Amino acid sequence: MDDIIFGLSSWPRAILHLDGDAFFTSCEEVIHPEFKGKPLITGAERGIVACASYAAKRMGVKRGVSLRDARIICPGLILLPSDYETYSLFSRRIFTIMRRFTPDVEEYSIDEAFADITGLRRPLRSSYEAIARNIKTEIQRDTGLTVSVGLSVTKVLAKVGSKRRKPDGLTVIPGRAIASHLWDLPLEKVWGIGPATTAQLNKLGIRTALEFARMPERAVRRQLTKPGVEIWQELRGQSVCPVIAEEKSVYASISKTKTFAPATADADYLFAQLLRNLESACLKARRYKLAPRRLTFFLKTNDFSYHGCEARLNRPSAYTMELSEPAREAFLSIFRKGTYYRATGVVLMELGADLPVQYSLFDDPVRADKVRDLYEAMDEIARRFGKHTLHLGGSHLIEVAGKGKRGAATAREATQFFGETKRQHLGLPILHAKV
Amino acid sequence: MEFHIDRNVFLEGVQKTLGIVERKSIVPILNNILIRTEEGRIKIVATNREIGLISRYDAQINIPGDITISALKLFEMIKETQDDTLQFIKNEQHQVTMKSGRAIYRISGLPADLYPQVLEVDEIPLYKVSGADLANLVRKTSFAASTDEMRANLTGVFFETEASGEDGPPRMKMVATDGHRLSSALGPVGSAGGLVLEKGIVVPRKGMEEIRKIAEAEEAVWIGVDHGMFVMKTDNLTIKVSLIDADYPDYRRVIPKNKGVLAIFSRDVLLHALRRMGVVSNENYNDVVIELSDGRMALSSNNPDVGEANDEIAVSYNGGDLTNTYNVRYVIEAIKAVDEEEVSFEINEGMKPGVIMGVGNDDYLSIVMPLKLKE
Repeated sequence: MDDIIFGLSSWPRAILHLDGDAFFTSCEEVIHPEFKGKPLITGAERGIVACASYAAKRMGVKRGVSLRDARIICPGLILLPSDYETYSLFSRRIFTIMRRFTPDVEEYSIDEAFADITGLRRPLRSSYEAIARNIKTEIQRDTGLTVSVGLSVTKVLAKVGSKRRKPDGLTVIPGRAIASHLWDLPLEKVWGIGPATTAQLNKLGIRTALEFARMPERAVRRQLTKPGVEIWQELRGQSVCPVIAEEKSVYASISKTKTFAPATADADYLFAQLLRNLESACLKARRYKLAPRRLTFFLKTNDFSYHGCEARLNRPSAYTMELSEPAREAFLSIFRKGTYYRATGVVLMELGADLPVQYSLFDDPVRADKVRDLYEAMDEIARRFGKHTLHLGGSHLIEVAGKGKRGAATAREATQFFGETKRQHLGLPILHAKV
Repeated sequence: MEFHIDRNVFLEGVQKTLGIVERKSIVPILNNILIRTEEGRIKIVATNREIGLISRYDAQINIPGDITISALKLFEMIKETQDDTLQFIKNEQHQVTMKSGRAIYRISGLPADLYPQVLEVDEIPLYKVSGADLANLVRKTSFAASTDEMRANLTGVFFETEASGEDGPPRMKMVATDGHRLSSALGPVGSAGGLVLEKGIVVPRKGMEEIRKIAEAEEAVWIGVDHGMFVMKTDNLTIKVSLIDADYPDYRRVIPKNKGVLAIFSRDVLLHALRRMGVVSNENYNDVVIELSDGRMALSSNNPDVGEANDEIAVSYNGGDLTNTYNVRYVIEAIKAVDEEEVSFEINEGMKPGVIMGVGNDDYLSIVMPLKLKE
């Protein structure tokens, strides 16, 4: 069964998927060499395991386990707070190394990326497999991190490859060898196939990726929607999802959520948090010249239930000042006195270009223009002096009462070089090599 | 239950309910109308809980009774019959049989006691007004009302009375706005027939449209306000519309006082030119640039997704050259409400509103806010 051939050409395209191995803890091991090879987890500030090192995984500590349970499973476990700044610095380095080989790099998440290396065999004077191996080697040499790489003819198959051998693996799936990598792969392990699709296809007797790839096209189109059909095509070696190298600038919605600790029932503080999320979301919307027509506000209670409320705007606006009134109305309708909340969030929806603007009869158009000028100035100040340097009075309480971050500060946060401020850091991870 | 009724009378009676009853309600009975026999006539009741309609038509009653039945299906059935009279029978199982000559329809109904109650209007003061006047005011304003449910007060038509001159007899006035444009229309002097609505009422747009449809065909109607409902009566029919319980914005404040550049157009010529622009304009903003210069008006519309359109009309205007951008749909709708052959369009600079009126008629006025196109 594994000798079925989906394509005659071995490399119609060459797409590579790279996946960091236990990325957060690996970063910690790099900057704390003394932890190398020890059972280690990050996420101490959240109370659950965000990432477990391979040593910890071997002891049975999994992602999402509570710290209490993790300590029971693995005595002597090292708990570290998440240091996202450092992780993102490492992440940026990995992507930069990939760009030494090809400009077509799609940053998919903090520790995952796709790269299109089609046609680079001649300029780089090596086979696709050698290129993949070189990328891996250079990443390990320059950052000390190991990654797992899948190389194949489509994104979905490259992803199958990178999962195949972990950690520090390299799996090559040329067009002719697709079937041999799919026959034993459970359907739900395929990228993009969720529990609902799995259950649906299981009912038809389709349990492995190969069985799915061998379904007739008519049946696939009848059973699944467009994304499902695309996965089917990609599994068969037809590349339909290109590697998108540009930074994402088209958004269907923008959301900002912040969890703080301890949970609070203080209305003013909660509203300040909510407004700050709104400020952050609007800042992002303005950066992409977008403005929302609809807003959703929500509060998350201490027992993890969400309470939300929606507001529709008369005209699109990404100026927090104009949105603070709907925000307050929404907040008052959700907030219950005496209830403890642990997070607030804002979603901007129905985003559209913020031009042209239909003037409104009952607003003062002169004021609207002034607000725009004001925010242009505010955004300039934010660029120079850091986000939220200038903010609404309603969110000022955060600056006074604290952002609600819990646990010990990370090494990077605790250290300030000469001339650094809390907002403006040099992009350097701090090494804690004990000499 | 059994009665005979004139086909055309029944058809018209059922047709009047179609705009009121819901089409695809999840509560099946709300798709229905109620039919009940009375002495020598039938009563048809329709409601969507916001609008209620009670109408009566002559019929020959053989066995009294009542039933509710799908308004749309009943209408379609009657429409396809050919005989002059219809026989309508309901059995014990709420099954309706309708006969027209040899054609027989059978359809299931639902018991009448499940139907939401529509109360007859109490003895309240009602005022006689001209059906045409009332319908005209609605026609000239309701299009400007908002469809945005978040701003409930703007989804209705504001209805008030205004004294004409010093202590003159009141006349009816209607205003509607969605926040971007506003239309206001005054009835003739004395048109309110003694009705006084000092603070004004807000009648939902859909209800106003039903009132217009009925008033249009009547020479005189009787109107009044009862228990938070706007009531209109004709000889055989009563319609009641629940008012929107919200404050209407101070619309007088936004009617501009300083004059812009006044341009006079032939209504139809301008309408056609605007429609040509509308074909290409952006579907969200419908932006069209209007430029007055050298004794002509240049219209242009540019949409990267579609293409562009340009046109010119000869025009007489006072004042200097001017350019502004409007939502062409708003302008078209405002001009369509003008009855006169000539339209005056007062164009203002920058963010000041444009004003549209019929030449020689001060009773109708439409205001349109311009669009700001980013540099």
